[in-house]
Amino acid sequence: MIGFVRAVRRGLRSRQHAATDEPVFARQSNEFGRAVTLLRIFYGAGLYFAISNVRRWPALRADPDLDPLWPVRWIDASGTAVGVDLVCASYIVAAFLVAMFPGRRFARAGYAIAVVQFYAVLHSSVGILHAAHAWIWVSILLAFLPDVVTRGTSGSASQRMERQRLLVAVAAAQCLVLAFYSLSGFWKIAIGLEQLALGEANTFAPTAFARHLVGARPGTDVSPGLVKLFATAPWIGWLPFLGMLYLEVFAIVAAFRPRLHRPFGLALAGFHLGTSLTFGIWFAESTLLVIVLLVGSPFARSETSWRAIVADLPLVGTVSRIRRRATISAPAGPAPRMRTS
Amino acid sequence: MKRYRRYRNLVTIGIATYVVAAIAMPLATGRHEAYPLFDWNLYSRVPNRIVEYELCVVLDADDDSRCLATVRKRSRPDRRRVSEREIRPLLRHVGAALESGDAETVEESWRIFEFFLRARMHLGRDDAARELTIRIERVVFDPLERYRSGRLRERTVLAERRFGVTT
Repeated sequence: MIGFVRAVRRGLRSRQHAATDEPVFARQSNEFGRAVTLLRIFYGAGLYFAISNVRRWPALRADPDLDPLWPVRWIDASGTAVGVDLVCASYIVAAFLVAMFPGRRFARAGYAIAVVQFYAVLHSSVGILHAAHAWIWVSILLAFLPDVVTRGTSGSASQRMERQRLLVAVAAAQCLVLAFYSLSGFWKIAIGLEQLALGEANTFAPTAFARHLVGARPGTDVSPGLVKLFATAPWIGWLPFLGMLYLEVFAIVAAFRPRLHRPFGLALAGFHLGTSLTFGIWFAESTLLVIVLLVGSPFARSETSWRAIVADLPLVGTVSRIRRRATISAPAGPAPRMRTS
Repeated sequence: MKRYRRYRNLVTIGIATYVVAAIAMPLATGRHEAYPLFDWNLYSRVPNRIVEYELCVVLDADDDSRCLATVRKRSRPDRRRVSEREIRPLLRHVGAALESGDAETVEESWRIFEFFLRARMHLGRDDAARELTIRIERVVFDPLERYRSGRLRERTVLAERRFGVTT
């Protein structure tokens, strides 16, 4: 299993990576410092979300129709008001604790449990929403990370291993979040092919975006002006929709190519801006995650050129490499004549 | 070194398991969600043919009908509250019950609809005191076609109920 995963990881990495990048440990101290900052920002934002979610507390404890999901089924025994009070209070306490001690495993584990419990209560009341799912999973993933020792930036092999463990945790969080986008892209392609085979309008059709917009469920805050625009001229939305599809499908590849972290992070933030403007769907936690994990990626290269970024782009980079190879291997023309006079 | 490798292997296997489960779950069980596991199948099917239920009120005097709420057949039928926002799932619930012949659900829903319409004064002060007819209709349409031309593929009256003056 591990051998297979290693082979997949090698396959996903950039062709340029091995040839031009420095060895991992040469950058480790620098990246570790940025990863610690990233961890603090993540849990600081966790506290912000906890505070902003407090306003839901009174409505949740008074909800007579609360139908507990499995993580909070114990609420049936305790009673809704008592159960919700316990969950919300422990969520707030855990968020404060982890914001104070982001390096301590007990604080991260406590926060992960509290987040799972709080969103389980929330989704038991209003139905399952998916805006916070990525946040929940990253919290769970980081709970498995042992204590982070921030003292010193160099030293023994064991200290290097400690630092490397945090970097692996951040890389895993990036992989996980980008895997969610790729899963979304995978379904769009799979179901698009099914609809194509059935002769229906599908993901690849010029009207796809307009149909999603016009056919959005009643109750969705779709912008009427934009609906009119895209329904009248569906081709306007075609290219952005295909761009979004590319972004989603290849998101997981970007996780393994540090030069793409910032461009993909910004593009995914733009994608969330687009869904908010058009459909009125706001994924606050996911947007913040891509900004923190990718735009603020500890592995991103600040000195990267546009040419290197384009060469790393999935498909685009492959096509440009093939073209370059074809140019190099093309037979040379007649040799220029030497002047003899 | 050993602990670092153990952690790296753990997260790698964890992520790989999530991805496999997210693809296998809907294929094996038909479910998209087992909180907090979600398959991330969002906006994948391009709408071609939409089925909706409409709650229409017909006022006796001039046969003026108003459609107050519209719901999709695929939405979740799990809410029972009487408010404008909550009436949509109830309407979908009753639409599905009408089609499957669930008389008990239909009867309960009629009472809630009447209460909703009168209590929330959706019909206005004068209208609320009048006799009214509530009609549930099933409409089938292509979304782009309906937006551009208003054309529906199908409109069927599933049920109709007349309510007397209550004030």
